[in-house]
Amino acid sequence: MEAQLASNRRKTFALFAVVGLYMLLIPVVIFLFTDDWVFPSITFGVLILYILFRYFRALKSFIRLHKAIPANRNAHRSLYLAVENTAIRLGIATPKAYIISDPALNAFTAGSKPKNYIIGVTTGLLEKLDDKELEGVIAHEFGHIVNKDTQVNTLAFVFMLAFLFFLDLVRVMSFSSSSSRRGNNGLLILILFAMAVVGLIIAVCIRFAISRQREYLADATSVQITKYPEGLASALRKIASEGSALKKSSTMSSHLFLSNPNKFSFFSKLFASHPPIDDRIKQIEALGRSGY
Amino acid sequence: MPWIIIGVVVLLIVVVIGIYNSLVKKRNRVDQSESDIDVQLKRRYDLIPNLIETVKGYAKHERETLDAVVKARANAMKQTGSTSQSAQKAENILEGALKNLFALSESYPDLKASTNFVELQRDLTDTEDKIQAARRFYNDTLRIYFDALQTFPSNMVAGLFSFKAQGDYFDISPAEAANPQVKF
Repeated sequence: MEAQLASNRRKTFALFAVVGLYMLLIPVVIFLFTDDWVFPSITFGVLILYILFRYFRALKSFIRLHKAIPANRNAHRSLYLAVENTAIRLGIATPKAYIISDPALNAFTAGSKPKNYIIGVTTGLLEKLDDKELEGVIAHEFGHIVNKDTQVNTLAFVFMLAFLFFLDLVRVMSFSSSSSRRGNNGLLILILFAMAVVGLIIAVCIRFAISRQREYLADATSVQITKYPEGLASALRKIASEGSALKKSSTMSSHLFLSNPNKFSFFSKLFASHPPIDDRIKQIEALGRSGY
Repeated sequence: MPWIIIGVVVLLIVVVIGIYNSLVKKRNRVDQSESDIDVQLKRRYDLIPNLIETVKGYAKHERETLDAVVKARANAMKQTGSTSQSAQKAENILEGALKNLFALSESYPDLKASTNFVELQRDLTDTEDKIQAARRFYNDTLRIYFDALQTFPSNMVAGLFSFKAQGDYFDISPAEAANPQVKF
């Protein structure tokens, strides 16, 4: 399992390196066309700032979007204790426990550093799962934290946003290109547009590939933590039958949830942020048989 | 030629420093995780007097069982360091005495129904879970440290600077013994 984790980290790093290098191409291309370093540097700087801005606001946006509220030790005792005790088990700072009021069964984790990690579940999940199942789910979420998935998934998503933003920038640039070097600029705009679209496609594919792979890993980590694969497997079975689609969800944050929070649709199959639940259950049961 | 030798020596020194620092960090983590166990054990010690008083209110004739708990608690608190064999033994005795006390509540329906008792029982169960979790983490840090002490090349640096193997594993359960530690 450690080897799998290490290879996964290398793959993720490689993917991000590819995207980063691709982004660096943008100012280079602009320079090649305009023989000016100022404009491309500003463009690149704006892109970087946008990425940083979105990345560090991701947690607040998430909490606001889903109306997540801090859990109460008395009202949500089993959740509170599961989070506390698993943190002790892993020797890390206790993340804040949160609740989303929704009958669907789901769980989530978000945050960019140990000081601001949050883990939460829906009220539906808290009602329907027993202690062992809840433990498995919380261990899965801790798996995300320990594997740095919250950062990676958020970064992958923010890169996607960055290319969307860049598409907009190109559109604005196309309106304001000066008339004096029209021909050359026209070609540049076209190339930048193509780069934005290609970059967006790359970022989207990467985002979903990473997200799916990390779900499998978090399941495996959960089994390692609890030494009780049946807990999480049983929880996933309940989720499969009862449904995890939230009333208020969005594709923007799906990568932070235990199971797909969006209602099924043609697109959600194509761009699935989560592997099929049956596959996940099978993998977990295989781990149970082969040892972990 | 001499430059190559100097280069190799410098590289060697850098590597040894790196291994040394990593050994120090691993040992410190073991010490830290041991204090974490102490924190959870203290939670239990703090809950017990309240429990004793509550039970006395309903079953004050059960002197033997109550005294056993009080004695076991005092003995456990005396132990230095939570991971020595004697400390583990003292904790086991305390846990046994508490079990007897809770078994007692079956014969006293009023006690069993009292909200105070129910809450204390709940809190003590949770404390058990927390102690268990802390012990499992301690086992992990210990195994990581022991691995470093025994595997090549860190075992050479460890010998050079006299890093000692210290402390014992906790007996958690056969399942734990069969599966290696969680490593991230």
